[in-house]
Amino acid sequence: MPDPYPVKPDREFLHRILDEGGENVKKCFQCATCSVVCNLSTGENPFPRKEMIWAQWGLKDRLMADPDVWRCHQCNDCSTKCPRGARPGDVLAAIRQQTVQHYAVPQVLAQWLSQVKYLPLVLLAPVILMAMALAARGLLGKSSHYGFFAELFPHWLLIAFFSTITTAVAAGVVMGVWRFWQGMKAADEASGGYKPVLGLVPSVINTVKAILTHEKFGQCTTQASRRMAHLLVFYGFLALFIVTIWAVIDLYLNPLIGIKAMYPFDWMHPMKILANLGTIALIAGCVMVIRDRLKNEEEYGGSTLFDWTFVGLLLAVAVTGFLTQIFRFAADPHERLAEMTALGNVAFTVYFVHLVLVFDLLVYLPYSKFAHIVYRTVALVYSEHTGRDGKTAEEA
Amino acid sequence: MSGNGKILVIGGGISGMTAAIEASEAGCDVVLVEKNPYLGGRVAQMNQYFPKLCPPSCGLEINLRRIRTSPSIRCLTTAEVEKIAGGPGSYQVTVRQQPRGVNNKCTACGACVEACPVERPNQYNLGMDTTKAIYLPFEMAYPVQFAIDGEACTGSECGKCVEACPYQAIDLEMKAETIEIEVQAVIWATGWEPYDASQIDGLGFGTYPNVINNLMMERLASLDGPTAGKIQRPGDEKEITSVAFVQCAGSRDENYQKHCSGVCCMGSLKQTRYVRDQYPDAEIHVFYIDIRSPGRLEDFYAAVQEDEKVHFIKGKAAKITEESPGGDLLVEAEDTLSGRRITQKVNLVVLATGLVPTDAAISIEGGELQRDEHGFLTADQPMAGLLGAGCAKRPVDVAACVRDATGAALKALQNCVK
Repeated sequence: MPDPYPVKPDREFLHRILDEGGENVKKCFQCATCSVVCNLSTGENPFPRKEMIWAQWGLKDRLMADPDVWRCHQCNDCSTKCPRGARPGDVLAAIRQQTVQHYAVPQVLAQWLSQVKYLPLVLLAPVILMAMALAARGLLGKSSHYGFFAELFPHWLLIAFFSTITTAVAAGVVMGVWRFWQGMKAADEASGGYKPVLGLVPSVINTVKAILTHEKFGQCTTQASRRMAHLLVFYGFLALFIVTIWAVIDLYLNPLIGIKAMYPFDWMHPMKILANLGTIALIAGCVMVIRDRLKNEEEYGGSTLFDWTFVGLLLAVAVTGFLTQIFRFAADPHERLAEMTALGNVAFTVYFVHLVLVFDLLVYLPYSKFAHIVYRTVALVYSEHTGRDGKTAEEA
Repeated sequence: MSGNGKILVIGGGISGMTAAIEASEAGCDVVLVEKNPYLGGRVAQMNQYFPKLCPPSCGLEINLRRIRTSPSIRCLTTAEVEKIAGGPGSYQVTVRQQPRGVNNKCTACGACVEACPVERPNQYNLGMDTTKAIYLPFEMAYPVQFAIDGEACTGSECGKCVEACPYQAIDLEMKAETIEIEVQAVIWATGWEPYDASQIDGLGFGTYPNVINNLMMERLASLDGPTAGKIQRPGDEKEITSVAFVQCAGSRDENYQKHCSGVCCMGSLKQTRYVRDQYPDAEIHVFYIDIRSPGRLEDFYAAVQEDEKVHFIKGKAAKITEESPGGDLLVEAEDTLSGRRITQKVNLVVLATGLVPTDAAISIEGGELQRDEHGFLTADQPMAGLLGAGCAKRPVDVAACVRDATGAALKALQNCVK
């Protein structure tokens, strides 16, 4: 038994859990059915029973440093079998949201993203920034020659704009995740339990393997459809991410080594095919997620603003991106901006909206549900690293 | 007729018997209606009472004698109330009595049993053994009279028992009878059924033969049970070296029964004594959410806690799997005090299933009984003179049933003197 220590209940934290998705947490009477019916909950570190009482008591410190919260994939095996309707799956989702917001830098952005009253601000700010970028273009000179959409946004501006933002966002993410890792480590050290059983590199490899196969999702039973939906979203997004990176390489790096830029890609270019497959997967996946969330709150779990903004944004990015592409192929690539028809105006509007949405997705990453991509990965790596799923050094 | 009014008591278990006896001894006429061919109800199926570990047959015998010698109790077994009409002060009751097939010339000699060719599952032992179609429900059964299971018996085509009976006690042509009674009050002592544990997801009751419920454990431990009192595995009749008691099986659970039955904790603590008496080396594991042993019953709990062979695990057993078909069982729980998830291998699992109020389908003209959300009768009923008693009202132990039934008898009497 660890020595007695003063418990520091955080009432404000408890109320946030209650208000943002975990409204049933107080119904829990600690029977631990949840920890047993969960296929991901293991020997030495079962969950979510302990998280339920920590949340009831407002023990924010413990929950913010708890990797088990992220081992949950919210399939709701626990919520459907809970004898009290305390819905542990929903409570863990609420705790994850609080974790993202807790570690986010700067804090104020996290606040904006979690409350409906800030929604107009959250949506409007990128539009203004983007418009300012456009205005800057006017000052900075004429377009390049890469076809129709470059008329609106020259690629150099686009890339400069998004690179700056991406770098800032990445810095915020790295800071948050670093604090998260240190928090988990400090908590384990305090209880004398920080004993790595596996090196960091193999831990990362194991985690990436598990993510690529969605192996953990596969162990959930209540919602078999969740794994498929998430696979589609995941691989759709991954494909588009690869294409985006390749476009930058093609445009700026390849010419440096004497390879002619292919961008913008035509229909049959392998990257274009990949992009379109990715878009279809992303749209299909998002639609499945939205359908399930609307259809069956009992099994799927409650949905908060945190959930809706993320899946909504992903879907909107995919749809506007797809439309933008259609307009590009529909228009004559040699036409100039000044000669644009009505179709052109619609096309530019869609493209503008698309860019704003992409901006939203990127810039709000550290504060939105999108952040689970890094926090969950880091928590899973930490779990592998410290043998959290009960593996000993030999087994690992 | 004593002239002091008449009441109907529905159910001949410990509550119904108590209410009938108390009312009759206060000078009231009583009709006691019981659907089984015997009195005693669930108490007759118990091996021992907690906390004294004395046999229920003792108290049952005293009460049966009081009924037998009372001139004012009319006892109708194999009978059910069909309909109640009228209103406060005067209820007209229709009782339907099924043919017992055996009249009161029966001396319980058992000659018919030898002759009978048909076997039936023995409900008294919860289907764990069989009897012939003509049977004495159990050794101490009252009335001391055989009965014929109308569904199993092939009727006068066979007739072998009729030939075998030396007392002309068997009448295979006996017909159902309808009996009309007028009473001033009705006491519902309709009791309880064990919760159907096969409804519970993941515990394997009904699939794994070595997962039984607490009432089956009572029968296994009883001298007049299917194994003559030897606790063994139903699957392969093996002796046991380890057993798990799973508390709150299907109880305090929104998915099954929301209510706490209040007596299953003490029931399991009591049953740990059965196991220890027969198998001093057996390891006993009790999986619980919290043990409810109110008042002086706490002493019994404390005594069981002292037993080094009894291990208490605070955490609900939420998953049970079979190691091999018909073999040992793996019980999974989180030990919430250590925070570890454990898998315990045992020979036998006893599910502490809760009490479900018996659903007696009786039509009441011009009104209905009031039940709470769990199906138990509320203490105050909207129709004067209709009263609940014992486990029909709430899940309680025998002592509480007796107290409650005595109170119900007094309330019924108040309706008779108006």
